Parts: sequence; C-alpha cells; structure tokens
Amino acid sequence: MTAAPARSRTGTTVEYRDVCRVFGHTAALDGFALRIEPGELLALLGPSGCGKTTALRLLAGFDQPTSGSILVDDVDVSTTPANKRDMGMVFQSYSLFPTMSATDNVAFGLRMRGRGGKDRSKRAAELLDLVGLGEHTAKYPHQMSGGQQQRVALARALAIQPRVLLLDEPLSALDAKVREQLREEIRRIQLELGVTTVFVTHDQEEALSMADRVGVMRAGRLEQCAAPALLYDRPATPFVAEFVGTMNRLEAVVEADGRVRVGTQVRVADGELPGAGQPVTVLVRPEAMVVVPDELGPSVVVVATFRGATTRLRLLHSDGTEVLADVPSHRAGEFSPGRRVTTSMLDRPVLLAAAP
Amino acid sequence: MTTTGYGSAASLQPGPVEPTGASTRTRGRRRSGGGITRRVVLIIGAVYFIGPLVAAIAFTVQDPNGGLSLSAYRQIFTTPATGQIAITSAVIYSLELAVVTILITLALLIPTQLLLHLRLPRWRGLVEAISLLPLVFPPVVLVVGVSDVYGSAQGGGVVFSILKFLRSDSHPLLLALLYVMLAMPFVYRAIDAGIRSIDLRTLVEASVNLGAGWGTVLLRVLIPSLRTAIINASFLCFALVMGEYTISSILLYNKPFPVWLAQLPTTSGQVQAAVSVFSLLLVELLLLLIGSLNWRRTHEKRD
Repeated sequence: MTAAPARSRTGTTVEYRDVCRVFGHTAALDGFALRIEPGELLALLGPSGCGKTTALRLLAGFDQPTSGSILVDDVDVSTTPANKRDMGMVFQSYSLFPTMSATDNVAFGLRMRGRGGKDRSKRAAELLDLVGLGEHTAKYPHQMSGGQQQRVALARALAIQPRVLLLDEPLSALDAKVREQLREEIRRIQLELGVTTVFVTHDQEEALSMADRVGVMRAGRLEQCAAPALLYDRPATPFVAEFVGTMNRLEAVVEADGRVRVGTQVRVADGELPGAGQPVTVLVRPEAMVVVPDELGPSVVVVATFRGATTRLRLLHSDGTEVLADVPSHRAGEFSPGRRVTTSMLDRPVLLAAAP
Repeated sequence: MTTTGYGSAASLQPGPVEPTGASTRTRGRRRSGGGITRRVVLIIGAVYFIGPLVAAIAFTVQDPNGGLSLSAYRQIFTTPATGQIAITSAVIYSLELAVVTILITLALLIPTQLLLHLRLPRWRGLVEAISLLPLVFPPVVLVVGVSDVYGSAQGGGVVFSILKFLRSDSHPLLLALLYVMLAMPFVYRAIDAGIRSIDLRTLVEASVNLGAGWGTVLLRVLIPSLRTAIINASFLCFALVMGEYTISSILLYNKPFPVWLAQLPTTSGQVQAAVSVFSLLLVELLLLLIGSLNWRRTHEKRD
C-alpha cells in the first residue's frame, strides 16, 4: 500500500522541543526535536533502544522529559497528567480490559468523560462497526483473536475523539496477513477521521507503507524525517541509508569535482568527500545494480532468492567480496547459481558510507 | 565489498514442525498410561483425605442400641452449658471476624502489591521476605508479644482507650489484626500470582490514557481483573480464621467457633466427633458458596 497524503487536516499539531529523557546514565532521548502537522500520520522508525517508544510515552504522559518540552497545539503539556491529555493509544500487547465486553471496552473512555449510557452504547457500536467488528460487540477479549482485539483497542482509542492517536507497535504481535489487513484499515480510518497520529514501529515496511512521513531515530536523536519515497531514495545520512532497505557497501576512490570511481565507473557522490585519490566506501541499493550474463565475467551467482516481482542475487566477486543485486523475476532463469556475470551501477548519485 | 541490510533474518528461522503420525501414536500410548497413573494417584489421595471423614461421619451416626441416629448432631444445637454461647452465635462471631480479617488484609495488601509491581519493583524481594515472617515465628510467640504490649497499658489516656477498644470482646479488632498477620504469607502469594498473570502496567496505562483516575483504575479495572486471585486469597483467609484456635484461646477470647468447640462440656466422643464433622462441613460449604460465585461468573462469560 502506498501512503496517500491525508485528506483531512483537522487534527492537532505536536511538537517536541529539544526533549531529553535520561534514565540513570543512559539518555533515551537526547535533544529530540520534531514537529508533526495536523492530520499527519508520522511513523517513528529505528532499531531497538533508539528512543522511539520513549518519545511516544512522553507524548502520552506516562513519563516526563528530563529537559525540553512537548507542545500540543502550541500548548506545553510536558507536565499534564496522562488522564488529562485526551490522547488515544493502542499498545503493543493486548491491552483490553479482560472483564469487559468489546462494547464496554470501547465505552470505557466515554464513561470517564461522563457520557450517558445510551450515548456510550451508540458510539461504541459505531466505532466497532468502523473497525469491522459490528457483529462482535458482546464478546470478551478472551473470545477474540489477536487481530480482533487490536481492532477493539483501536476503536477504544478513537472513541474518545483523541487529539492525537498513538500507536505503539500495535501490529507486531499479529501474523503477517492480519498485519497487512490492519495496516490498511488503520490508514483508512486515520485518513477518514483526519486525526494526527504517531506510529512507533521497528518494521520499515510498515512505516514506509503507512506513513505520510517517517522519522528515523538513532541513539535518542532524529536522523531524518521525510516522506517514505524521499527517505528511501535520498537518505540524509549513511545510517538512514543502511537502516531503510538494503545496501551494498562498495570500495571507491575519490575523483575530482565531487565524484568517485567505483571499479571503472565514475559517479556523483552525496556527502563530504576527502581529497582526490583517497579511498572511500559508497552505498548502492541492490536495485541500482545492473547484472549481465557473461561467461568471462568477474562475478559468479552464489544464491538466487525469489522475492515475487524481483529475484535477489547474491554475487561473489573474484576479489572475494559479495554484492546483492535485484533482477526482474522473469529474467531469473539467466542467473542460476554458478553462472558468471558482470556487474555495474545505474547512473545515479551514490551515498558515502560513514567513516569507520 | 560487503553487504548490509535488515529484515532478512526472519526468513532463516525454521517454521513450525507438524507432528508425525508416529509421534502422535506414541503420545496416545503415553496418554493412556499416564491416565491410569493419574487415576491411581487420585484414588489414593481421595481415600487418604475422605476416608477419615467418612469414618468420622459413620461413627457419629451410630446408635449404641443399633441402627443409625442423629442424636449426636441434635445435642450440638441444644441449650449450651453455663457460660457458653450458642453454636450459632459462635459461628456468626467467627464469620464476622473472618469478613473483617479478609477486608483488612485485602485493603492492605492489594494497593501495596500493586504499588510494588508498578513503582517499587526493587522492594518486592524485601516485602516478600517480610510477608513470610508469620511463618517463621510461631503464633505463640506472636501472641505472647502482643499480650505483653497490650497488657502493659494501664490506667487512662488515649493509648489505653485505643488498646481497650481493640481488645473489646464484642468487636475483637485485635484478633482480626493478628489474623491479618497470620494470613499475610498466603494472601500475599495468591495476589502476587494474580498480578503476575495480567499485564498490569499496560492495563493501568490503558485506563489512565482513557481518562481514568487511580480510584477508577483500581475499582473498575484492576480488582475485577484480579477477581480470581482475590477470591483465592479470601478462601485462605477465611479457612485460617475459621480454624484458628491458639491465639484466640491464649488471649482469652472464648466466642470464636474453634474455641467454642474446644470448650464444649461433653465427654461423649460421638458428640465431639459430630462437632468436628459439623465444623468441617460448614467451612467447606461456605468455601464452596464463595467459589461457586467465581465459577458461575466465569462460566457465564464464556457462554
């Protein structure tokens, strides 16, 4: 699924201003700064321990920043208690109240807001319909599958008409098919309601397919925040380039005029280059590699892995290094293991890897 | 040149392995073998526990002139001896004591244990060790210390008034407080097991996120989620109070049911056995009643 821009921009703005959160001697967030626009679905992506869940918990009010501030609609909410923030959250683990039916779970937040019984039931029924569970209103959590429970959790979070919807890896416990269905539903509902949404995930496919923008985090800081296509095609840092998708690291030599030579090919390089003649490492995506069958070629196909529309080749070069390359699957027959090939790169700028 | 990338490791993990027919058959044989062993163990256990009870009941209904008679049971309910209250009063007294003990124990331990799990996890080991102390010190030691402290208060003043109030025979809060201590090791573990069986932090955060205050979280979310653990803890508390003799006897309370039983002025072995059977069945019946409430609610929910 390709993320479409949000149709409705009625949501709330969220801003992290230089937020730090220190646990003992470890900084989970270190000068984290980010602005989320109304109605936007922003995914926070990063490896374990990068601080993405901490950022979400601070916004939910379950924790408080050591320094810096969090603004919702330009009002500082850093010290506002969690139960006064009007934020709906869907948790990673199943968080439905086990002794309440689906309807009671969804109506819980409305009860806390003093809404009458009939009103609560009507609203709960509407939301359960919205998430496709109109037939399961009387069921208890233990009578529902994991996917159904997360749908109810989503309905419960939306019932209170939250200013911001927070999703903390809500799909990670589900199987692949259900995960894909729910991804689409969450995005559909988010677009329909126009609610500002922050989605924490470590699954890059999930982030790239759902979000308006993806913020890639590393060691408590935001490395890059951009639209999925931009993040993939023009990563701002080597970390982002290597974290999002797959990269080949190729040895190169700096030429004049911001160019590098990789083998016999010369390409424009993104990044600060050292002096001419210096060795550098550049990053090239497997789909930017061109592979041609050649009986006298310097590389040999080691493994060909079918991936649907494309087949990924693992190639071993005569100098002992490995390269990954994607070819269309209808041409995969030309690249069976053991075949010799020559490789080159598409004529695109290459990104410099971080210095070791 | 080297390659980098994420997300490929998952594909290397082996998928679930279906059981083969042979292994299923082996399991089937094992199951039938295991079934026989289980039945034998169950029968031995049942004979061990039920045998003496059946023998006692048989003894109590034997008529010395031959045949069966309930006269031993009738004697329990006849007018008590001088100075003794009626059996119903003794049972009600113990029931009230049990209810008060359960309420105090739960009111103390549930919030404490929730706090330990949510905010003070480092203190859990220490508090758990403290909760075991009543098992380390025999009730006699406890009661000697208590009688010493409470007995030393003389004359007037606020402290004396409080101690006198706590010691009162009509509402023996002192006894209930001592039972709270005795019940602590069992109740602590029952509630701890319940807390561990739920995702406490997530439930609390989910409720707070939806606008609930701490009172609501406790009453509407946590206590219902811990219902089985709370009922189990209450069982243990109840059984302990209904059977406790040492403390109440040494502190000269003669109204609790176990003390009443011990002071029954009869030399008839049949009557004494009938009283024991009656008390055992009464406590069992009350426990079954409490348990059936939980079972019925769970059963209705599953339907």
